[in-house]
Amino acid sequence: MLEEEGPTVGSVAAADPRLDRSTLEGVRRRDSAALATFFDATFGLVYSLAYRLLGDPHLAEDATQDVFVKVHGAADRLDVDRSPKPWLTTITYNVCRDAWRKGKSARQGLEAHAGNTPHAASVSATPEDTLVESQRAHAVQQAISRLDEPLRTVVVLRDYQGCSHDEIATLVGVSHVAVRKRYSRALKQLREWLRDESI
Amino acid sequence: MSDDTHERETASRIRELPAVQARAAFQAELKRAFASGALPAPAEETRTPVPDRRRAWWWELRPLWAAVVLGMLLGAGAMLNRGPEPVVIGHPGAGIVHVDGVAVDVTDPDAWSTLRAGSEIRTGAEGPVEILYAELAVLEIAPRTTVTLPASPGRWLGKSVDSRLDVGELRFMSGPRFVGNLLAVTTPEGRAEITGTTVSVQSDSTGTCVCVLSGHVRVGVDEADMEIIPPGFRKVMPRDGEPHRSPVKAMHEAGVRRFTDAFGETVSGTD
Repeated sequence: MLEEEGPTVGSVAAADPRLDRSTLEGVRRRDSAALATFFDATFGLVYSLAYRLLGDPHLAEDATQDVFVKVHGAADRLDVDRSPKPWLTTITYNVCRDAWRKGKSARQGLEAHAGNTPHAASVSATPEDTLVESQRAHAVQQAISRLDEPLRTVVVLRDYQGCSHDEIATLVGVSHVAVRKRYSRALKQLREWLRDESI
Repeated sequence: MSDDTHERETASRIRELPAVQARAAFQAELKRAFASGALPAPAEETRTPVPDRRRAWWWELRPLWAAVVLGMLLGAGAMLNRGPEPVVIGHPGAGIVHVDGVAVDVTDPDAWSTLRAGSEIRTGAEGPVEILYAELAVLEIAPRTTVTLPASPGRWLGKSVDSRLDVGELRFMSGPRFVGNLLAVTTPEGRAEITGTTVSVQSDSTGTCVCVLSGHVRVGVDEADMEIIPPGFRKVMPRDGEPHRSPVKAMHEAGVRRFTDAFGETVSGTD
């Protein structure tokens, strides 16, 4: 089983200098400028996580909107002494979980949005590199979306979001051991699928 | 390559996933709304509204209708389940019989109108009274007997019925439809459970005697004493003494034979 490593956050900044104390205090007061800064610093985290969990850009947009509605409503309870990332991760996961319960599945989007993963373009790569990278990312995302929701949650939170097993256990409401088992099963399953696709 | 290495490779592919790019218009619109506080209400589960239709008055009374229908069904079931009512088919031709404490002149055509299952009958000295439960059984109530008639066994439910013999003699002969029923005759000294037979139960101040002419009857002073008495035998349960079994006395056998000869065809429905 893969040993615990320090989180390596690929697409989401672990700490954003824009989210300093004064900005967070402004968010608590629902100051427009602070809210705009907060939005710019956190939108990518929320949308990307929602997309990785739900596998569909439209569902991800709905979820992202719901997350920011909830954040705005609870802004006065924001802890200015801590990074808002765990808080946002929790809200985003809960919104996505609600979406699953309403029958909105990641698998729904697989067919409808095949080859349409909205990845950011790399400015330094050649068009060919960009195409290959896009296809590879799409294949990985498709494989993630094929996972059952418990496995998908763990692997996305762990490897994409950079959460520790303990953080995931708290968030999902299962034991640390269960998280590790799910993570291992998810990776094993993903490896088989990606190998079939020669990725 | 080890499993751990494979897992690390797979994990790294996920970590290398590029940032997901949202639609610029969506991002800009949501930012404007978030910063200004002009956000829509959180998405809630939409439910199909129930149309506010005014129900007919009778619909509001549906618990009452349900109770009425249930009562009618139960009533119909009870009617269908009910067995035959007792009918007097023989009496001494003169004298007085008490039905539920009321003196009745046996010659009066309406004398027996109050008779029903469960009635208490007290006969006089004149002669026996015979009562038919059509195709189920015939009871002969000897002179100077006080007995509580059994309920009529139900067709499907309530197939076990009770009768009480306080004093005197009760003769019983089952008919073709009695199969599956049980008549329990209780006396001051004991109990006889009859499931289809010809039997005589006598009770007086000295005790109870159950004489079995055909079939088998469970008899005893209590549950522990219950035993099956075969044809031709009787069980005597003295008021002061130990119960015992012995052959039926010729006198009792003659009385029951006369009864069966007289009413055997009646209870069989061939009369």
